[in-house]
Parts: sequence; C-alpha cells; structure tokens
Amino acid sequence: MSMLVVKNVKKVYTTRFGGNKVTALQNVNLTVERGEFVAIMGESGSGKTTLLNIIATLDKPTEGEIELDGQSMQSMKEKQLAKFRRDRLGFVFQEFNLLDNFSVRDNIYLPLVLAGCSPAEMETRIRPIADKLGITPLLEKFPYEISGGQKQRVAVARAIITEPEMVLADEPTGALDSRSTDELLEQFANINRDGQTILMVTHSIKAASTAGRVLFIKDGIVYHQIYRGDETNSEFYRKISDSLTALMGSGLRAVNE
Amino acid sequence: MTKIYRNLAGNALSKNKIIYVPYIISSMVMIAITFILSAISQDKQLRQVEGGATLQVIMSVGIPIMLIIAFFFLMGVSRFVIKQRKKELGVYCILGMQKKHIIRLQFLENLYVYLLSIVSGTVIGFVIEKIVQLLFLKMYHLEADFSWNIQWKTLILITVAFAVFFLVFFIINAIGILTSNILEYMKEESKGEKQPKSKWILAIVGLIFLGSGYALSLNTKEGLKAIQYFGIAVALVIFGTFALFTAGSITLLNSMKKNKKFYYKTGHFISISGMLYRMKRNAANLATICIFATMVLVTMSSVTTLYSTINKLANEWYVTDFEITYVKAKTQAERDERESLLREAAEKTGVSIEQIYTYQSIDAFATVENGVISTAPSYRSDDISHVFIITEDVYDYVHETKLNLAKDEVGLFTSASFSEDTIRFQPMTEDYELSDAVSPDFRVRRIDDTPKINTGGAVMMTNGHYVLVVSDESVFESLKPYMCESSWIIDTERERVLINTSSSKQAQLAMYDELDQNWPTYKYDWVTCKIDRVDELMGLYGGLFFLGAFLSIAFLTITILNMYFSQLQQGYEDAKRFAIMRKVGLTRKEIKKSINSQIVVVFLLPLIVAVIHTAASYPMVNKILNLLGGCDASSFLLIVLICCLLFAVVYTIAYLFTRRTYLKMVSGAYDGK
Repeated sequence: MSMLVVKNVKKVYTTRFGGNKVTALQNVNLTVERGEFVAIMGESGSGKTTLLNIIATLDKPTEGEIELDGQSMQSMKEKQLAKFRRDRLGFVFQEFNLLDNFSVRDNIYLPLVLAGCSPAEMETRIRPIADKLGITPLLEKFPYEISGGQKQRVAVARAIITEPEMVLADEPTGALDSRSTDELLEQFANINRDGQTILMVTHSIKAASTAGRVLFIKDGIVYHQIYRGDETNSEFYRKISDSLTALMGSGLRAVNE
Repeated sequence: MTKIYRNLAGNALSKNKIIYVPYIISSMVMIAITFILSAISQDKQLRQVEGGATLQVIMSVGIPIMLIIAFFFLMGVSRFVIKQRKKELGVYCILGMQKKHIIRLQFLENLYVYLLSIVSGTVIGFVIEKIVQLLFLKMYHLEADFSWNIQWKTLILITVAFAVFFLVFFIINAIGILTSNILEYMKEESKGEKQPKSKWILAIVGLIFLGSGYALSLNTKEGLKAIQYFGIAVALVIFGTFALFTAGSITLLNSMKKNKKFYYKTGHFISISGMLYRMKRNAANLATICIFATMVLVTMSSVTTLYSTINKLANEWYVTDFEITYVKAKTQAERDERESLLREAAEKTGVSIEQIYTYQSIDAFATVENGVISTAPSYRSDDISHVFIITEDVYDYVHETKLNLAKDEVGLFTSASFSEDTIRFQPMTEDYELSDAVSPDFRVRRIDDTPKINTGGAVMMTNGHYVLVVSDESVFESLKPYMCESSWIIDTERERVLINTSSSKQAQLAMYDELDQNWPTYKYDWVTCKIDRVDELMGLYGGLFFLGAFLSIAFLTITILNMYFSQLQQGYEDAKRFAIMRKVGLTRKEIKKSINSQIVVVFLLPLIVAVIHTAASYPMVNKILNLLGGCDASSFLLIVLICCLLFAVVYTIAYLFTRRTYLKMVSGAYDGK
C-alpha cells in the first residue's frame, strides 16, 4: 500500500467577496511509497506550494482526497490535524522558521514538548540526530548566532526528531549558499537512506537530482514524472534538465546552479 | 514635485493609521489638557469669582508640569512611530530617494500630525474649558456667560509650544536619518535578539528598594514626617518597580527555565520563553504603565478626598461667622466701643448678630508629651502640635453651657491621642531640653465635642490640635510664664471678637466688604469671614481637584497609549512566531491559550502592582491628608477603593480595545494571510 495517496485534488481560491476565482490545482494525482524521496518541480505559481500545504494539512482541498497510511485527512478536525502534523509529519521550510526566542536545543525539542515527552527521553533522542547532522556544538546557541546552513540543519533535526512518517520540505535550499546546499542535500540523502520518506518541493534541478523520483507540475496538473533508477546524481541532473526543456518548453525557467 | 511629497506624506499617514491615529489622539489629548489649564488660569470671568484666583494659580502651576509630561511622552511615541516605519523608508531609499527627500517627507508627516492634533486639541480644550467655567460660575451661583471669548494668549502658547515640540522630534529624527545607513533599516527587523540574562543583584536591590519604600509608608507615624519622607518613598518605589519589572521578572523566568521538569511542559515551554522575550522588550514599558497607573490612583483619590472634606474643614477651621482681631483694649469702654461699631456695621449691611464676644487666647505651637506641654524658643518642624487656650467664660457663652471648672482643672479637647489625667506646662531651653520652670499640674476634664470657637488654620500642618479651657483669667495669666513667647502664633497682647450671625451669604459678604473697605473706622488688625474663607478653600481644593483630574486624564492617556503601542509591537513579533508554531503542530486553541496567558500577565501585572502600590501608600497619604485638613480615614478608604475600581474598569476597556488589534494581527498570521 502506498504511504501517501493524493486523489483528484483540486484547489480553487476565491477572493473575499466571491469575485475572482483562481485555480491553483486542477486535478492532481500522485502516490508516494514508504522510504521514497520524491521531488516536485515546478515554477513559481505552478501550484507546488499549494499542493505541499494541502498534503501538510495546513490547507484544505476544494475537491479530492488525501490519504496518509490509508487514513483520510478530510474527515479530521482541527485538533486532530494538529496532532497529526505533530506526530506524523516533519517540516523543513525555505525560511528555516526557527523560533528566535528558543535555543537551538529547545527549537528541536518543540514538537516533542508538544507531544508531552519527558526531558530525559528528549535528551536521548536528540543526541544521535544532532551528531548525524553535525550540530551538537550548536545546541545551546540561539538562532541569531548561527549561519543559514546551520539553521536549516537545525530545522531538519526538528523535522525528524519525532520520527515522522514523512518529511515535507518546501524549497529547503532556497535560502542557502551553494556549499550549504550541497551539505543539506547530502544530509537529505543520508536520512532517506536510513529509511525516511521525504517529499520535497523545489525549483532547483540540483536539489531535485538528489531525489529518487521527480514529479513535474505545471498549471496545477502533474505533467510528468521520471525515476532515477541506478543513475548518479549528475546523470539524473541531466535527465531532469532535458525533461524540463522537452516537456515544459519555454514554460519553465529551470534554475541551473 | 511638492505635490508628490504631499501625496506621499498623506498616504503614509492613512496607510499607517494603526500607529498614526493613536499618535494624533495622544498629542490631541496632551494639547487639550494644556489648553484647558492655560485657559482656566487666564479666564477673566473666573478671576472675579471668590476663590477663582486661587484656582487660577493652581492651574498655572500645572501648565509647565503638563508641558514636560507631554514633551517626553510624545517624543517616546514619535520614536516608536519612526521605528515601525523604518522598513518603508528603506524601500523608498532603494527606489532612489535621497536622504534629503526622506527628511522632507518626514517633515511633512510631522507637520500633518501637528496640524491635525493642534486643531482638534484646541477645539476640544476650548469646549471643555467653557464647561469648567460654567460649572464654576454655577457653583457660586453667578450668572453664566455663554459668550465665546477666544483666548489669544493661550492659543499662542499652545500653538508655539507644541510646534517647538514637534520641531524637536523632527530634528532628532532627521539627525537619525542623516547619521545612519537607511538601507540598514531594511534588515533591522530580522536582526536577532540576545537572550536576556538573569540579573540577580539588580533584582535584589529592586526588592530592597521597594520594601523600604513600603516600610517607610507603613511605619511613618507622624504627619509631618510623612510629608518629609513622601518624596523619598516615591523615589524608592519607582526605582524598585523598574528594577523588579526589568531584572526581577527575567531572573524569575530564567530560574523557572532552569527547572527542566517544569519548563518542558507544553504550556510552560511556550509561555516561559515567550514571556522572557516579552519582558525583555516590555518590562520598562510595563513599569511605566504601573507607575503612571499608581499616580492616577493616588492623585485622584487624594484630590477627591480633599475636595469632599471642604465643608468639614471649613466648619472645623472657621467655626464662627466672623473673627476680628484687635490690639488688646486698655479699658472695657474701648472694648464696648468696638463691639458697638461692629453692630452698626452689621445693621448697615442687614446682618443680624446672634452672638458677639470679645476674648483672649493663647495660641501656640508646642510639643505635647506625657502630659507635658512644652514650647521652645525656636520653631522645630517635627513633633509640633497646636495648643489653643481660652477661659471658661468664652466657652460657656458660645456653647450656652456651664463647665464650672475648678482652679486646678482644665477642659481638654484634642484630635490627637492623649491618655494622661493631668497636664502641666514646662518650656524648653535653647537645646530643646525641658527647663526648670514647671507649672502646677492640672486635672484633665475631657471635652468630647469639637469646640465651636475659631482655632484658626494653624491646625493644618501639625501633628495634633489641643483646645484647653481654664477656669478664669487669673489661671489664664498664670500660665504665660511657662510658655516661650516666640512660640505664640497670635501674641497675648491681642484679643479677638467673634460674631455669629443668622444672615444670608450675600449679607455676610456685604458686611465683610464693609469691614474690609472702611478699615479706618474699625481699626482692627485683621478680619476673617467664614464664607469668604470657604470660597477660598473651594478655589484651593476645587483647583487641586480639577488639576488632579486633568493630570490623571493625561496619565491615563499615557498608560493606555503605552499599552496600545506595546501590544502593537508584540503583535508584529508574535504573528511570525505563531505562524511557525502552527506549522510545527500547535492547534489554534493551544496558541490562543498561550497568547491569553501571556497577555493576561502583561495586562494584569501593572494593574495589580499599581493597586498594591496605592494600598502601600495609603497610610502615608492618609497622614498627609490629615495634616492638610483632617480627612476621615473611612471616607478616604472608600474613595481609594472607588478610584481603583473605576480605574480598573477604564483600564480593562482600553485593554480589550487594544487587544483586538493585537489578536487581529496574530490570527491573521495564523491563517497565513
């Protein structure tokens, strides 16, 4: 059974007084298997962030259905959704979204504290993750004291400390320099190798080339998908690049870093 | 080109109305209050009213106070406003504006704010001043004049003073723009904030200061000491409050944070770290709110109490309708001559005399301790009571009674606590030691009711008030050697005539005028007319009341605006924070709960501390008010309670109103708008 099933999802935004209607997603179908690393590519305004927000339960679809592990999210109430997000999803954002009034440690602890974990348990959980991401020396610092790349690694630690079924990443490399981007993508690949399911939205070919599968979205529809198979990152990079040119024509301004 | 600037400046005001409207309203209130104070102090009609002059003097004292308050408060507001707009100015800069253009824009914005507030402020001030004037005229049953006189002097003062203020704000602002890199403004907001550190020493010092301020208030027994120490106590409490709010709160929160079991609980986790930042940013603000709230409470309750005791005071200080003091008559004939002249004056002005009597008194400052009344060769400011001695015949005549005191007996009325059975007189030496001259002991017979004899306003600034009645003139004379002459308020070579009448206010005032204007006929030393004095008191305490009320409104405005701006600032910051928390998995309910618990603390803290401060100040203020005219404790307590309650209501309404703005900002971010 697929881990995530998105069925015929449509999203229409209506302006406040019911005037203009904007269709962000026309009809999206996709599935993600357990342990997969999937990238969704598309240009600004293609609806990829809307899709991620809907999968993240931060937004509701106008039509269609989303199932995670066979559980439909449509029927859930606010409170259940919050718990669902907290326990089963992890988030990494372009803007890091760390709370500046918490230390690095407390930022990572945040979802655990919300789940009612004991301080001792949190301590045992944070150690291996911090080691793996190389942020152990930063734990007592505050977000304003560390660099962008470090911030994003803290955000990744926060996303995976709850051992979520799926990590959702929205342009995670968007605010990083190229070295930090490389490091972060490397870490994504690592945690994926450990069995973590990751769904990432990006318009960077480089970021997408780390994934096992890439979906292309344009005008609210999933156009195309390609699998990595046994290819290396650079081979896959070329393939993604070719697909973009071929399939989207001039429609997509691919970012070639 | 100019038109573009005008449009931009106008736009800036309307786009940022969330900050400019309160800015304009607060400067409007400051202008209106200053206008009212100035206009009342210049009002020609009020000057003609009895007591009006006193009222005007008090109001004119209020003008510089108001101007100072307005200047510093508005400067704070203008700096807050500019801080909020830095990002916008940064964008202008990127779009190619030079510093001089931005300064020009700032000038226009300042000008608009000034014009809007000066016009609305003077109009409101003008209307309220007219109402106050009519109220006063009505209070004295005088013809109300509905004509509108424009008071140019006031108008010029206000216009110029506030123009200077706004010019200063603008210049400070312009210097800020010239000396900084405006592009930096863009980044200003995203700059990280240091984690506040515990400041144990400052917290403890604050606690000590606050404690000693309280102790001073609670332990000061005498009224005169209370006046001396009041300023010190206020300073201690203000410093203590600031230290405790800034250092104490953060130290407390940090130590809560250190306790892991306590800290890592859903509710505590977010609230403690949230409060830590909130307090770091707003502690000084909250302390200011608290101090101003306390000022409102103490000022309002004291002036109201004073005002409400006017009639009681008048009846205690000025018991008889007239009191005329003369040089002691050499013969009884001279005495009779004076009385008949006074009777003629009464007849001429239509006053019917009920009682008229000439008497002598000893009227002195003295220390009363262990039944010993001791006067000193020179005046000492503390431990001083007022002693007033008369003979029985005066007392009997006025009270239509017979005390039948023995030669070794005194009738004693006192407002102070006095438990001895005997009294003796023993003056002090230059060094304030008891001298060897001791009078015989007198047995004390207590008089319970306040004597209906003028004992003068001298009661005011003393610790106690003693009226002694001795059996006859020989005893009266025998006391004089035991008292230092320099302690007498009215020397014994004078005598007084008291007159009680049964006539109307107008007739009495007419008689007062007659005595006042035809001095050569009557040849008295001075004359006091009760009705005239009461009007004077009305002017004094009514003036204090109005001044207190206006200053309270100013303080209240500052309190509310402070609250509003601090909520606004927190709103900007919290909005981002809560958007993140939602993504991490907090429900709307949990976020709301956390906001509420933090906001309630921020709201309640200053209010509760202000009420505690007021409660702690109560004993001291009560003693001072007693000095100023013996307010009774229960009515003062009631007034304090009513003031607290009223203040809490106004404060809550203002809070709920400002909270709406805050919640709108925060929940807007929550929904991702």
